[in-house]
Amino acid sequence: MSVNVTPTPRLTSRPDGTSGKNRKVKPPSSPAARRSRRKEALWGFAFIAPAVILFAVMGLYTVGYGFLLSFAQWNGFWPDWNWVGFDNYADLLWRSPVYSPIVHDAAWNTLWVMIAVPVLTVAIAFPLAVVLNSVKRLSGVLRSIYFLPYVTTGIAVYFAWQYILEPNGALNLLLKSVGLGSLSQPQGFLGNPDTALPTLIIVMVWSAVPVAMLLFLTGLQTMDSSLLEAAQLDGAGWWRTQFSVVWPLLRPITAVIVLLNLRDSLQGFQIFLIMTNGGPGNATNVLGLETYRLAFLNELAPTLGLASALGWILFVVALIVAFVNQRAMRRLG
Amino acid sequence: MTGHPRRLARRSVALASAVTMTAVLAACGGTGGGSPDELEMWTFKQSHVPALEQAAEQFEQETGITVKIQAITPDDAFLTKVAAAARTNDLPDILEVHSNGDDHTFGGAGLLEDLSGVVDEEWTDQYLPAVADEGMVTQEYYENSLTPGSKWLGVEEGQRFSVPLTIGTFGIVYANRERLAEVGYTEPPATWDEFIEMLDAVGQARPDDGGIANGFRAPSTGLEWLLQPMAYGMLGDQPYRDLFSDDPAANWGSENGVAALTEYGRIQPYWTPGTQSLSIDEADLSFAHGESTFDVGGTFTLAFLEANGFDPDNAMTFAVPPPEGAAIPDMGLAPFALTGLSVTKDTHNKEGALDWVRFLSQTDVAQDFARNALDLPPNDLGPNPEDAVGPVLGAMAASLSSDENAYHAADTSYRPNAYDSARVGEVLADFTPLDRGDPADAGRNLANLIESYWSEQNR
Amino acid sequence: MSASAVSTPRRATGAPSKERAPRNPRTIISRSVVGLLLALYAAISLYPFAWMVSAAFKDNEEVLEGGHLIPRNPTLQTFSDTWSQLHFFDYFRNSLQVTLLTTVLVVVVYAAASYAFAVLRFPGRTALYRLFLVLLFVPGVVTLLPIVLLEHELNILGTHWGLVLPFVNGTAPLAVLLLTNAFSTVPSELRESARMDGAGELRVFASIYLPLARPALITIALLTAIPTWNEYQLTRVSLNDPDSYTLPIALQAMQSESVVQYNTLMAAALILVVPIVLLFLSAQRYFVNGLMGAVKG
Repeated sequence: MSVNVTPTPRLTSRPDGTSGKNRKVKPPSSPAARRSRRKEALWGFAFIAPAVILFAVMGLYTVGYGFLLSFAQWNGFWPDWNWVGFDNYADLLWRSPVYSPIVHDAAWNTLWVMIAVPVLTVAIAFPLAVVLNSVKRLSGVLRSIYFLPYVTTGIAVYFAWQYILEPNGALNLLLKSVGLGSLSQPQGFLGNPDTALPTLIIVMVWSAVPVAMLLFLTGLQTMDSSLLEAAQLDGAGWWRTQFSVVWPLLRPITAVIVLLNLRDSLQGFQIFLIMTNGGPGNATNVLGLETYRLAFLNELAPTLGLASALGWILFVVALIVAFVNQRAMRRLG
Repeated sequence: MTGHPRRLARRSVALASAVTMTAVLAACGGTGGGSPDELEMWTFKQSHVPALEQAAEQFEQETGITVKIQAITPDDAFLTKVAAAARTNDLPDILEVHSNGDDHTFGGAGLLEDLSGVVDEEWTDQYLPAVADEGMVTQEYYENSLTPGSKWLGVEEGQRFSVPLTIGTFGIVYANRERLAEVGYTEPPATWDEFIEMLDAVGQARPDDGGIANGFRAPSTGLEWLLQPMAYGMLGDQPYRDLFSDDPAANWGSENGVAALTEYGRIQPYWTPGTQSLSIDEADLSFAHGESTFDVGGTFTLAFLEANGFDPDNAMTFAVPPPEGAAIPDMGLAPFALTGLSVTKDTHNKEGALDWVRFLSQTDVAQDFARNALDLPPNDLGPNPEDAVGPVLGAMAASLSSDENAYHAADTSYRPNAYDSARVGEVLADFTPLDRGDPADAGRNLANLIESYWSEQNR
Repeated sequence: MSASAVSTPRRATGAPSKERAPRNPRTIISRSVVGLLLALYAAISLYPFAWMVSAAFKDNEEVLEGGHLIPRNPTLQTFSDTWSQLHFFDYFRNSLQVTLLTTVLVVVVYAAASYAFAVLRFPGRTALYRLFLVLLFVPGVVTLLPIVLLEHELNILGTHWGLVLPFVNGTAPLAVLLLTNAFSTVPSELRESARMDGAGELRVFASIYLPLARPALITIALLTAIPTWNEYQLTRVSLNDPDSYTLPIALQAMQSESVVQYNTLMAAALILVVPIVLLFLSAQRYFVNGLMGAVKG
């Protein structure tokens, strides 16, 4: 369902977050006011109706179906589900001699992705935004160029990366031509189990930097300049200003960027499916891909319930990560 | 898992051309299945569509019944679509299925007609004896279906859910004849040792493109197309089966297992660079384009190579040979059914659907189909298969063995239930081509993984 | 490094800092470092596209040699063959149809819903809002099969509506989040005075809130359109009539059905990305402003 959910700012805000301060205290409870409130509520229902109806038709059924399926054994064809209670969850997490080791291995790979992608994305996007914000000439052109990786992320660009990363591809050639031949990969960067996952992480970061950079950029441009001036009047140098004023002020945006990248790292699988299919060996099998394999690529074995359960485990982990992220950022701020 | 996994579908899908695309366009649209003189058939093999349509035209002339052929690819889409249609009783009249795989799964779930009463001896006499019974629920399949987690739940012994449409086998090595001649080889190797020598000679003469390609992106290929036939010939039937048991004295971790893996590991220096990232098609393509000198595949590979510009006369083909001193030195490869035809429960015209299946089984129709689809038919082609289906397929048909010592790749009865060849193949790929660990490590890891399937089954 | 590195449009009107005035060697060096870094990342961003273009203009032999960027025998043959093989206009029309329908529906449906969440008070508002947010974390793969089964029963499987409806619903969390924020920043006094003048709720929404939230609307439109254009997973399992293929599926089908070489593949990839790049370039000014509006406040 959330096939095309994409990064977004302000994850942590509430519906009444900013309008709250504009709102007056509750109106007096006269009959006229009550009538107007009832009318407002009716309008409210009318405005959300299309969204709610669509969710009721497309979302409720599919989410509910997926949830129930996580308590059953099914191969997609049996007329009835075989209810197994919490067995699927237990099998995935610790009980099954077949599936729990697979999940554990994939979880380690996923963990690396979850750490590396957000950290690298922020580490690249933040300085890039700061520097881009300082240039006047060409900044529009550069911004467009920097944004291209996001615009085109998908099967076409993954194929292009495969082409670059193959044994006689562009990257090996580049390394050899600048005298770094010892770093080149004769089996291709996706063919060496030690480089395959780091390589995919870099491609993911490449795709994630644009939106992160743009969010930082907008944060920088809407930043209250008097704070920066005050810091400079206090004699703080450029680096000092960045670290002690700008970076803390951008922390809410950083939180959003980190959260969205954590979610994509935890649940994403398309790049893995297209570029490595989990290989070589199982060096790049991650939980998102494993979910897909259990659901759709498991030779008709009755593992649809397992796949569903794994998906819901990822959902809970994402919620916990979101919660921890929010708390951590709040405490730091 | 069955002996002929889904990757065969991918392979055959690769054969489709722009011509097929047009054919599919013409075949699509319309819901079908409603009218009694109109049958609907789904296949997961794009390459079968034009050949099936040609047969359908002839069938319509004879019976007045039209058959609409629709290809649904890739495999995950095909299965998803069948699952969806099954729930609303919207299945087409006929399905092309993976023999001894989908057919039993669908049949066990009640989606298919049991054909055991209809397919009599007269019918099966048209087929090669080796494949005549494929599609039947044998005692082994039935017993398997009773174990927990079986994908064949619900089948009954003696039922038949499909009749074979195409047959073949894997474990066939393709070598570039010209390049072998350059280094003095004109005959296929008789043993694994000669094969390695050959690889070495070509590798030294052609360091850039003398290697052997295999599509390890589907990791089970290394296991099922190379190691298994080699190990079967080396050890003989029962010791080979025991490799997959949970007996530490006989499984992959045992002396036998490590010995087989040691032999297999000798191929490590000769892989085409990057073979671990190639899909099956990409590996074949690298052979067709001369980037590799050897390619591992099956009977179905030749048609693909030819379609991609490789001159079949330049291909030297041979079954993966067992090493010197093997238990079965002259091991052949037995054919088995790759795909079959099934009639669904939702058919509006069971008699018509059966007629269509019977029609496709007739030897003359099957031969035409084979020629058009470049796939081997299950029918007995007589003493001169070249005359019946042309030289390329004929040579393939002739290479199949009906010897009782032949390696039968579709026989999977010795494996535990939850066995997943893709994951076993991944572990094996760690040994070669990824070159991480020695044969003893590989044997231990394989034994541990397969042990986990046995304990899952016995849980 | 110059202090201008932290300057903002607003700050530019302020007093120049003492470091800024003299053009000393340090400034020049730091400026060149900045320039170099910017150029380097631009090169990294463009790297795959450069190779896409490079391969697309190589012939079948040359592409096998791999690694050189400038084709020695540049040819248009690959490109024109691929163009006709890909049935570009048919699939382009399908892609455009799916993307446009999805985008328009997302904007209309969730602008209305977000207006309600941001401005109107009604029972269940917070609960519903939270529900939409939590959906952000439901992995898509969990609902993939149920969507197919549901659509089969609704008889829309394999149609473009069968893609559009789940895409729209899938964009709900993001759209609600972004647009609710944008509407929240509109001062409520504007609505109150309009109401005093007798404007109805629809009027307030259409003539005050929508224009003011235009950047955010354009942003969500692009954040919907781009992934929809590139979507591959649901499309792959649900479409099977080649007549209704979208470009990514056509690309995938081309790759898996006839195993093409990289020159053809890259030519096809190029054909696929160019329209969406053009769309982005034409809308990017609003897009950037829209994101700014969304994080402001």
